[in-house]
Amino acid sequence: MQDAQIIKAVADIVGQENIVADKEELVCYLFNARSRELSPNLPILAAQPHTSAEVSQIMRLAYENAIPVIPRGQGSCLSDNTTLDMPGTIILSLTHFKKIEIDPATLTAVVGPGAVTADIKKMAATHGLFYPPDPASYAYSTIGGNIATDAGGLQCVKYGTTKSYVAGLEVVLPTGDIIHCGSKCIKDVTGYNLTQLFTGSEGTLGVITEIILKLIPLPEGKKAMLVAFGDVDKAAHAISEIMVSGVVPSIMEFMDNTLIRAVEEATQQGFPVDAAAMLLIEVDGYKNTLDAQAEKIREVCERLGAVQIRIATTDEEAAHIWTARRMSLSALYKKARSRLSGDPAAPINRLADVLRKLEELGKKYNIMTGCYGHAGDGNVHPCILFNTDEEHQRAIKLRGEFHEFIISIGGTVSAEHGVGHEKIHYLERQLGKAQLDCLISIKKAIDPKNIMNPGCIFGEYIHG
Amino acid sequence: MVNASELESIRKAASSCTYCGACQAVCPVFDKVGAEAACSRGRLLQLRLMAEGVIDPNASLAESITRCALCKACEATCSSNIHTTELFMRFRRAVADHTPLPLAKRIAFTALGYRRIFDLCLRLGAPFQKLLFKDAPEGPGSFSRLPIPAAGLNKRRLIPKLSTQPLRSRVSPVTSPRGAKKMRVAFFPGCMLTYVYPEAGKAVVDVLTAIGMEVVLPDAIGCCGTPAITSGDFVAGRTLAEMNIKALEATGAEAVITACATCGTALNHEYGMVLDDSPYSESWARLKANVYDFSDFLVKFGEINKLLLVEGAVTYHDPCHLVRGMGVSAQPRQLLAAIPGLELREMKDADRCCGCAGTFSAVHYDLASKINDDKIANIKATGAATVATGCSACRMHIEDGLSRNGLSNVRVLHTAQIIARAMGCAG
Repeated sequence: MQDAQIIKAVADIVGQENIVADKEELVCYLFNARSRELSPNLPILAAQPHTSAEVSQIMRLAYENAIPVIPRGQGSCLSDNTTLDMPGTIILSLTHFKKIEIDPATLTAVVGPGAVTADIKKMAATHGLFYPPDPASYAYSTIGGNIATDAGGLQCVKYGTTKSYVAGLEVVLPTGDIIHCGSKCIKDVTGYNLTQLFTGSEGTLGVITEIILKLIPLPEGKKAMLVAFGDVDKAAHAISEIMVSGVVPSIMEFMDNTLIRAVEEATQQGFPVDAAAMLLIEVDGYKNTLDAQAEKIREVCERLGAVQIRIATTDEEAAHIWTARRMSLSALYKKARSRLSGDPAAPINRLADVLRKLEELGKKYNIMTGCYGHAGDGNVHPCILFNTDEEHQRAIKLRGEFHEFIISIGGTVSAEHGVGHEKIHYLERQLGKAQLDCLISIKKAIDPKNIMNPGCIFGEYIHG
Repeated sequence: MVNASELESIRKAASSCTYCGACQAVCPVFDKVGAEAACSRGRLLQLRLMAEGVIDPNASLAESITRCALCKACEATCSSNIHTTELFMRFRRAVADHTPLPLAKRIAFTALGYRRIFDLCLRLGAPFQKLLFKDAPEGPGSFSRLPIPAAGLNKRRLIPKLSTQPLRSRVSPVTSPRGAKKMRVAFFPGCMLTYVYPEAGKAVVDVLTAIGMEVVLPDAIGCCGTPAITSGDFVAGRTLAEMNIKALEATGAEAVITACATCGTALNHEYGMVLDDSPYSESWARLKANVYDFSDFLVKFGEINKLLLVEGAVTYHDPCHLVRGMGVSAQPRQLLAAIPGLELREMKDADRCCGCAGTFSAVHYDLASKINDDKIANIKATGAATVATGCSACRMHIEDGLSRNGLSNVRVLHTAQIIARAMGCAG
């Protein structure tokens, strides 16, 4: 089919007003939140369907004509998950799927993939219910993208990642067939768990068009704490100890000295710039349990030699603590022209080794590094800063060596952003040949023509 | 082609976008259109790529950059602090320099600069408006008898009537304070409080005099210039800015009071874009520090006590140019909440754009109406019979939305009108 025919066929399905085919507008789809360079592969069009029936018709057309389709949520992905590897694609934008229906009687919500995660949280809260996953982008990222990447966030340390809350999905398969997997039932083992297969599949298996989310009761209260340590080992040790102390914090964030200094420079709020590491902790639950939880954490931290412990007693004090976390990244990024980052995780008892390794590698390659992360679940975000092309090359080597180390200690190169186009070269090393082959078999069984987000996750492992 | 240094400056500013997409969650236009180019992230990328020569500054691009309500919601959420609306206006200027504005806009913006002609047209317009407009069956305003798209007249749109008694026939050039004089202030009413809602303009003067202000209504002021500036006609914008600065300075007033969010934002911010090397730049620098929105001024300098009973539920709509343009949102609420008998009911998303956005709603009426429908639904959900707001353009658009949605029993008032009543002013 010629491009013009494809444009007409899709316009016939979704209406002329729901397609974008001008070059001047299409260029906007060449980017996502991780893009550094403009892809040369302009898509044929971007379609904005309103119903799963329309998505099904588009997929039928794409399947018959072997046209690659890239489902797109909000484009805030961080592993180049929506990068255009090839020309001649259809971008399938799910922005119009905004439905949010809370069902308090079954503790579930039925939502469209284009619903913004923050709106789901807000709507659930009006019924006294809680949707916990909170990737840093939750104020603007869409639930479809969150599910496609099994997004994590701060509160995963206690509540688990997105996948723990996906109870069911409506998926349009590459052939155009529509399936409904999972249900509102708490128990459901009829057949393979396809719901969890599509969760985290990064748009490579089908188009998610509706979601059943599991909700839990909203915790009654929360309490924030800031703890500073004189050396990183002690901080890492404290994190591991807290996690096995019987208290499960709802947030346990870590910032190293580079980050603390950057955020203090930006905010001048009196953060401990001489500390080697800072933990930002939150406990939640019934109000009458909060003090006891905080006290338990204080005991552990004091025993392990914390140099400063602040427990917020007012909302303002809590807000002050979270300012540090919110401001840290933009503050750090101002220090260099660009950066490499990542989202590896290690078993929580190896955190000290991970942090030491990054510091070591920074010295070895003479590159400025910083590290922050959701340390309570072993997931860290290394920041590798560079100013010149030559430094960029060193930064790439540094990150490669760091990821090798992560794999060698039983960690994972991607905890919450997905493989995308960014981490394909670690795939075989991380999974082993047999497991990778298993993944490829699944991909080929569901998407035999490789038209769903081709290139993502598998790259050259799958041709045509 | 667009001036090279301006192009580079636009490119540099647009390039600081990290494409996180936070703007999409707050953009009223993106909410309805859903396309990347219908939000700041996409538009900033378009501007960058235009400056880099990847795409042409053609009609399609201009259309995309024009499809922005300039509501500043994205600016408030941007972690890179990009002044998107200023960039879009500068781009519009670059385009306007090469592509003539539609004839209707050109004539209108030129006429704005000739204050007396503009005034005469609108005064003469009042008695003759029934030729062009028919009265709405209920509620305020009229409907256009003819569709004139270039002037933003859609046959379905409720257009407020021009008053047969504009503000200047109701208020003297100088009004003495009630009681001892505390300050001399200049009131900048702008076009809509002068010609369309003069009773609201009168209420502002009444309240100001009641708190001891001597109020000057300068003769030589005109339109604030926003319609020209947002359309990219910086030449007309500068003419109006200079005219207004000169006239306001000549009053010798200690403060300038605006009661239209858009006029206020123009006076204390947007003139900076058009003045460049103007001989009035210094005067403006002095002036802008003393420009106050009416409600802000009242909270800062007014002693208000013994308010009268005003019964009923009121919901307050935050005009974009007031909440984000001038940083005023708590003040009108504080004033309204202080009135005995008045129940202030917050609507959902009170600070979200109503869709009017001046010339935006004229060019994109259908889109502006969809955005407006959300605002109307949020107003309806409060059950309040009165909407208070501080911008006449919002007021006009919300009145239109209420009429389209069969809610003509809900009335829209300027905050000043409600306060004037509570203070026992005639207004």
